[in-house]
Amino acid sequence: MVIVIVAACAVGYYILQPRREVKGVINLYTSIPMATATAVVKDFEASYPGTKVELFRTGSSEVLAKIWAEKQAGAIKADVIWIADASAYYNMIEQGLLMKYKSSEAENVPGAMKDPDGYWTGARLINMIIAYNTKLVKTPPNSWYDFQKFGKRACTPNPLGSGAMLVTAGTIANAWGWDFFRDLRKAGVLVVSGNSEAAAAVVAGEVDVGMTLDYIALGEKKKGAPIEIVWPKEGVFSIASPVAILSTTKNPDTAKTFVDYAVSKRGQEFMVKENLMPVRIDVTGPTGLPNSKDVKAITIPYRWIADNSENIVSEFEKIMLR
Amino acid sequence: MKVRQAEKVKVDNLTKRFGKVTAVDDVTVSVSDGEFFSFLGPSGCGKSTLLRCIAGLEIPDAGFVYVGGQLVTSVSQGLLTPPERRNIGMVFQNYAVWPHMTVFQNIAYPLKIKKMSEKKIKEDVIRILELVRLQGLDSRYPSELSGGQQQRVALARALVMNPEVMLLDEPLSNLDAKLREEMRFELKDLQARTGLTIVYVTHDQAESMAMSDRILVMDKGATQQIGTPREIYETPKDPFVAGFIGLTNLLPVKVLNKQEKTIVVELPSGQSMSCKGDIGVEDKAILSVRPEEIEISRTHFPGFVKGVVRRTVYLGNVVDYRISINDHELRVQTGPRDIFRAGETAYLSLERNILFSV
Amino acid sequence: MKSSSTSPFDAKYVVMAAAFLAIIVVVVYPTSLLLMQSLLFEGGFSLQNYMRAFLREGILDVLYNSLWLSLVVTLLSVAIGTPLAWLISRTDIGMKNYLRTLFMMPFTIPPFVGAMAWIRLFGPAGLANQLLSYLTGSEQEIFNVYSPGGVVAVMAIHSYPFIFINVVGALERMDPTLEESARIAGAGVFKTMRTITVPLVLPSIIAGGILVFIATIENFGIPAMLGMRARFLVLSTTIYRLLQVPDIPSATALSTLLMAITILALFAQRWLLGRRRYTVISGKAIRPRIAHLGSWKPLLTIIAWLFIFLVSILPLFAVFLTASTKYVGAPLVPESFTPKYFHYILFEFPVTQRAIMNSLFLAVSAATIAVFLGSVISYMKVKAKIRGSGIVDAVGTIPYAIPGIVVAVAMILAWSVGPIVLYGTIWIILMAYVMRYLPSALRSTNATLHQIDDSLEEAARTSGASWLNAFKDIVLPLSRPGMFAGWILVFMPAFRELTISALLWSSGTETVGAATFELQDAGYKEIAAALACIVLAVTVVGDNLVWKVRGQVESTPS
Repeated sequence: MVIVIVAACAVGYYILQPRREVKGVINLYTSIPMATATAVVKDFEASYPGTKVELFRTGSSEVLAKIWAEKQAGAIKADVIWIADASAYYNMIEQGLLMKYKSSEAENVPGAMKDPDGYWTGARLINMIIAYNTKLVKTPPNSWYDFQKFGKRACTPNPLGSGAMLVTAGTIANAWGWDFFRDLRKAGVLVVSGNSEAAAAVVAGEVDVGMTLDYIALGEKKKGAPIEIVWPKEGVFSIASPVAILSTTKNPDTAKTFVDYAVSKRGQEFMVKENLMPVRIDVTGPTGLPNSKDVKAITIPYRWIADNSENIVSEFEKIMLR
Repeated sequence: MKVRQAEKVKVDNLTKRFGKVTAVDDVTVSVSDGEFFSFLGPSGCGKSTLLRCIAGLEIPDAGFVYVGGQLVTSVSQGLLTPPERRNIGMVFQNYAVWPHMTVFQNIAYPLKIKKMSEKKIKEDVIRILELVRLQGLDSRYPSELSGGQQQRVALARALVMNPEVMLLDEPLSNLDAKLREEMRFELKDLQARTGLTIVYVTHDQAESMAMSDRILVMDKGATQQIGTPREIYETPKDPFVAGFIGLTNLLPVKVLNKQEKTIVVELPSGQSMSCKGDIGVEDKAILSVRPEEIEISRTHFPGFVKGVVRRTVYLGNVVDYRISINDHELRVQTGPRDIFRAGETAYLSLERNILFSV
Repeated sequence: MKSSSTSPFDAKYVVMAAAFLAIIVVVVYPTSLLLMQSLLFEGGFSLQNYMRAFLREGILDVLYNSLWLSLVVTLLSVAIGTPLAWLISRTDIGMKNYLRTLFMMPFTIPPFVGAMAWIRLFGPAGLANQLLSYLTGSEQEIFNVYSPGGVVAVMAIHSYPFIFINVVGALERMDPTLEESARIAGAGVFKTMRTITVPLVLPSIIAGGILVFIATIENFGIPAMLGMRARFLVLSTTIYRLLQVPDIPSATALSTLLMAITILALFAQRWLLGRRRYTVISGKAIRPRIAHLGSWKPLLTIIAWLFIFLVSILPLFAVFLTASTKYVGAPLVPESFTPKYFHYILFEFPVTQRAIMNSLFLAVSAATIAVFLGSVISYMKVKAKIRGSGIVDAVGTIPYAIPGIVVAVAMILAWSVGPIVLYGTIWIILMAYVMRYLPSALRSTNATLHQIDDSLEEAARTSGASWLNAFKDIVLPLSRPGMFAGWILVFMPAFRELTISALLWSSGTETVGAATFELQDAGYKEIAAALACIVLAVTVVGDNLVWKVRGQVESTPS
């Protein structure tokens, strides 16, 4: 009998928890690392009292998979999407999944980093760079092709676990060919699931170098970890991770407010504190990263990547994971 | 069919099957008020099933059951009064005393169900405890009691509700020999004092004979014979009953001649004998003669059969012989008079016999 | 066969019908949907899905890996567990009670926590490797846990206790006169062991081994954490990846394959055990023959304690260490220690806070529902003996043969489309848990009710109690301890469950297991470790409760 009572309490407690469909609540599906995402969400809620963001954080492709599954079920829960795989947004537009919204704040965002029709707005600039362990590496690499020299002591993220990696792999395949990865495989380079894990592996000394995102590496460095960033001579893979609103959102007002926040001065300055490069031209970047204007960016063929994403994933898997 | 009140339990044409096995085969029996009635038979003969049908714990496939004059089971009418409304008391083979209740709570349970007042319950329980000689043990738990004591708790629990009839399913078989005899006496004494009607299931024929007013002998689900212990012992209806109750020797014989009540048969040894009996027109029969009914002598008398002593066992009050007549061995029991030794010739009188059809 | 007559006859059938309906919804519907879906391709029945899945490049390797892994782990578990069992129950080694508890310890640690611990110890930057390079100055590592060998080792460590406890049980209950008569007939110690003891204990070993095989082949957490980096893929991780793509048809086909393997293993077990009669369990507690170790004693004692230290104590230490140092790889000096991660997960991080709450809710609810449903079904079968209840019981036991990951896939298929959509809610996880743990609950409830002799209920009926009263006054009180034990035996694994929730969780419905996995996977090793410590704490408390109620540790791998 005791058990029945306890169970009843548990059920009651759970049911009494606030429902998500209450006004002012939006579901944010993002691939931003958990700690950063949580902090951003907190700042947003503090800036706009009365709002609440339910965070769903997982890898870019998993976010897309969940949205796809929700679409199949006829009930999309997501209100706002913010992932690193910028190419995916093209597909979403074609499927009518996104809502047009041109935030007034977006005036300060360069044209290349936002959709002309207003379907999405770049909100943070992330760069795929090479990170290395300062204790273990005496001569840091300065080219992407140096990567293979490290063999087993190097790691890359998996496109399945990192949208940024999907874009990177696609760009490499398109620009330099799949042989780049075949060489990596021959050298024995490891594959980890995501950018955070890659950075953590470098920090822990499990590998000497890793492909990861600039802000993650910078964050670790600021904690005191023995990690340093390399901006290879060929350039970096610079992605303006866009934020967009789902057309099926039940809370367009709050969703739009979030987009406003993301590209507002306050929002951007907060993200700078999280070591993210801002997209706004009137906001100074974080210390430890070059100015966005000074970054050499390799051209990313978004359209091609969008059309071939499945192929890129399976090809990468075939080459790197066998 | 009208039922007299003096009949406490009446069973009419009861049949119960389990799958392909017929456990109770068209049994009809009635138990009178105040009677100690046993169902006796070997394991698997259906006696427990019959008892459970009376209790309402089994649903028969055909037949009627009356308890205390009331129709409680009628297959044809779809009537099945549940056990709790039949006002019967039942004692199970394993006592079924509830381990999570004290002796008092166990016995008080039927009264609690009847929603009697606490005062009255206490009175009745104390009274019953005295009746079964368990005074002072009311706050003990069954795990603290001996087998015999648990037995009495089960008994008390069944008695306390003043049932129409008490059903006991092999209640003493888990007790050791000495305790069993003691309990037998106590049960009879209890019955004498309370005037209860008791239906008692057992496979122990000595027990049944010792306690019962009447016995129903069963085998393979069917009634073999109903009668008093004496009737069943002295005039068994068939070889099975004869062999099941007490000891008997069964000899296959050939019928030579039949005249009125006298039949002349030929024994396996070739000798002929005349018997009393009532069998139909057949050429074969079975001669049943009990060991203690065989007279043994060193001299040949007319009608006596010659045999050789194979084995002698001296038991003090009885001497048990195995004596062979040609290839048949008879068991003979006499008092410890003139004791024969193995190998000696003995002459036997099989006069006090019963003849059965094959 | 007995039947009891009752006046609420109709009520009984209604209740059974309700139980049957529940079973259909929870078990039959998703499973049959899974089977059906695997055969559907573009609207028509075909084996195309299977073809596509099997012709996938590398699938044979994956299948081989799975089978190889399970087999090696099973053999290793038997190789470790059996001698240890012999040591405990047949020799005079000292401090047996402590040894026994400590040998069992890895069993109570959730495997994924173990994996995390072993990463900390034997990962490329692990403590052990650090120690070695400190001592020898070389870069060579003793052992990299991110490898097939690592997966095998971690799984074997968590599986051997199961074999151990089964063999100990068999050895202790074995009638010693069987061995004694062999000795009298002239056989020496080893010959007796070989020709008498081992064959008689073999059924326990086989039974245990097959269950270890099944648990290993369906395990997701360990191969996911340790195998992917080494390109060691197995069926469970492949299904997971397929669901990520998402390639549902292929995932479904492979799930069915995995299920088929599990069912085959169960049949093999039944066949192997059914062939010979091994009634050696004598029921009475008889003291078995003890072998005296003599001069071997000190050495074996040292080995035993070393083993325990390595396998039970070190990992716990590693996890705790990870949870309380500033970052993984930090030098082991006092400045590096901090309680901030514990604080973070409990008071700051909504994800972990939610995860703990969710897992508590799920575990409590799943346990309650499963035990309740199990009780109803068991009562129908064991006590009321209603025709057809045996079928309901059998159906309820089916999920035993369904691997966790397959349960998840079935749930996705069953509840992603209308009219009732549970996908993305916590209810789908609850459904999955009920399905998964119903067999365990049924096992407990069946055993409990079997122990209550029918005559106890019948005595109540003949004492004047109605069916309901008899149930309330007799059956219910007597079955409480057993039911409680059954409840805990669902609560414990449900609380720390990983495989199913890794696939079914969504924002707001994280579980402790899923959260720990995701955090570890994302590289937040410290936070994951802190969460793992919480799981360990709950596990310790729960297992103590089970011990108190049951007097023994549960005997199935979770």
